[in-house]
Amino acid sequence: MSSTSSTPAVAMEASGLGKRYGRRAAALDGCSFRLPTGRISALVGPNGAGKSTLLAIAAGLLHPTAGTLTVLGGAPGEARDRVAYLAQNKPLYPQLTIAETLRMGAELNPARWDAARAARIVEQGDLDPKSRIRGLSGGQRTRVALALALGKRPDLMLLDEPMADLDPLARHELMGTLMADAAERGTTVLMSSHIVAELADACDHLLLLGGGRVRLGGGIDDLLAAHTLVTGRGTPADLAAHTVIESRTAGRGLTALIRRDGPVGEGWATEEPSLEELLLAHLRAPEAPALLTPGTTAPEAVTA
Amino acid sequence: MVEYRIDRRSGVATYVQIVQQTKQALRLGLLEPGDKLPTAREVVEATAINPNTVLKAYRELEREGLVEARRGLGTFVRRTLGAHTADTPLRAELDDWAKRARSAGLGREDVDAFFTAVLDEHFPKGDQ
Amino acid sequence: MSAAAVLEATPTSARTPRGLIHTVLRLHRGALWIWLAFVTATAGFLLWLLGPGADTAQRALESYGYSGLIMANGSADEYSSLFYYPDTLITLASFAVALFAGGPLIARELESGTAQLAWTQSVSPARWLTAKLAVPAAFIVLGTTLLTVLYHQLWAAHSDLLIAGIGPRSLYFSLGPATVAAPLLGLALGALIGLTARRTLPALAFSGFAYFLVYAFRGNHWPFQGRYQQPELSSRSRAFTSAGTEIRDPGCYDDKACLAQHDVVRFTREYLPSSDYWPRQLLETGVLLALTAVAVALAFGLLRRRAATG
Repeated sequence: MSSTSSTPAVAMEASGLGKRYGRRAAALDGCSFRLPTGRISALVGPNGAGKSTLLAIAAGLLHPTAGTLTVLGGAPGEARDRVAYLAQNKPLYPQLTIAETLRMGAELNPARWDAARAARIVEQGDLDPKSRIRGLSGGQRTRVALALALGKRPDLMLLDEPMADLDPLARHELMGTLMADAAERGTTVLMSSHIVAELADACDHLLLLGGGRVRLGGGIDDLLAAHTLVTGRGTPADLAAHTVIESRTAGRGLTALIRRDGPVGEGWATEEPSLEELLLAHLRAPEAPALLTPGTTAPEAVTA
Repeated sequence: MVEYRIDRRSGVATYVQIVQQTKQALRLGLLEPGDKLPTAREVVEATAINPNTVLKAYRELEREGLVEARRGLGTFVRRTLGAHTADTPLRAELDDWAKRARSAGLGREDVDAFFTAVLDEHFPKGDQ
Repeated sequence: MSAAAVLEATPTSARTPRGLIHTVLRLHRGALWIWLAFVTATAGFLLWLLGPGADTAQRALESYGYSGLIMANGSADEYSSLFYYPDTLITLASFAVALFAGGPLIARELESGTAQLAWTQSVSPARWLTAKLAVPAAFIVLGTTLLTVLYHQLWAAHSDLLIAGIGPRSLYFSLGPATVAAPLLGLALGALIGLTARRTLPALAFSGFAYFLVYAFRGNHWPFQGRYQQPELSSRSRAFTSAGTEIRDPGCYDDKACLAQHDVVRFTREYLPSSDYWPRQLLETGVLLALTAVAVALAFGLLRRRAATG
């Protein structure tokens, strides 16, 4: 986990990653990026963009059909004990009790298991360790699944829609637990979600998938800084020097989200977009060119 | 110990909110020199925000000389922010100006817009 | 799969599969209890047949010889029919093993995603499948071996109480190492089908069908336990006179005058061992174990293609 001063250590690195299921359109196609160690990265994209596929490949559950993915310096599945994965449907053994589920975590992760941490997460939810998984609500199952994931003290957490089933209180609390773990141990987290508000506060890194590849990748601050929301009485031609992601008429002028290339001319009110504005604009404009900030570019990747 | 409240709808960057709330606590005397700020772990556990955001806010406070990080111990308050700003001549002048603005028929929002424009002019957001 | 890398990365977990075994036991404790209950009940039944159950039939044999047994066998719950029940139970258990392996052991886990849950702990899919097969296999071997040994004891002690015919020779040839190997093949076939189908219900149906094919094939092809192709087991029926001399069974049935005339006081009967027994048993066991090995190898190959086995 040591990082040299010039290049930050890399937790995940994809190069030309592709996954095709049978004859259907590829779920991933030429997906290249780098996730630096210690970042908390939001994996977003429209439905079917390949988020779950990417996470499952990283967890060593699926073979890619093209390209390579390196996880914690090795092939996916080589560092199972250091990677935690939370699948979208949060599978758990229904016939076990919560206590037995945690015991299974201890037995299957003998080298790293932290029983106190796992037990605490379950206790915070007022769950009786003796109750069976079968009888739990969706949110309660998510809590147990997260306890199982955090209990193994992973270096990398792969979370597929982790908070979808949770009520706002539990979501806040579990996200806090997740962040505390990251603060304490420097865990790298890659989580997919549809809830932008959830991501905006918790994440400092973004991977936006679309059409099977990364459309936006990098530190959220860097990505926001690279874009500007401009409003003014000009015409689209006035913005031709920049990359216009999306523009709409606003009264007599227009408002546009641009990737600045040099200073914006006179007569434009400029504003830094919010993460939500940035994401929505890119989701509405799937043909916009990809942008990966320097630390996120895979070495062989073509970013245009 | 201070507790930070993150308002997601305020439009103010999260780390700025932490900086502002720390300063507010210093002004109100809730924090005094030698007091320890909550650790990044404690803050993120309570607020569910990114740990780097907290560290960024603490670095900002350190840069302003308000706190210092002691290796392995935590972040401690170095000096307080005086609550005596209320008495300064500057405040009196602003008070006077506000009265005149009101008698000239300006509303609260007009004053706010004026004030923000002047602030932006004299205190550019250079380092954000 | 780069085993070296796994060993380097997980020095402790790779060498202590105890936790994994505990987990497999806990996950399938329902099936485990059913299996233990089956073994206990069947063993108890065999012990009863070996001891008290044989008394009436033994008396009939001693009084009237082979003819006495035929007379005593009027009703269905007589000793000679009860003698075959454990064999039927063991055959049914082999079917149950195949169904269990296809459904709850493998396919249900793949369907619900719990297999993937296990694979994202510190356990590679290959080690998971190894434990999933090895733990039930151990219980199957121990249980069926115990039952087969007891059955052999019973045969040695009381096979003379059976009515001669297809039944005894079929039973005689079915008891041996092949009795243990058959459910192992069921386990391996079920696992292979479970991995292929990945859904519980189809896996159950296909496992049952596949094991039925095995069962049907074994019933009709040498060296398997075909009911009609086994050599006749010769039996020897003898009678004893009051002087203790051993003579041929005079065939008096329950005619007391006839018995008195021959001075017969007691009878004995035994099946003579067949020279065909061991060649058949060993060959059949070998074929079953070879098929088991092929199914297991295919299962691991399939698993490796499905997931990054690490």
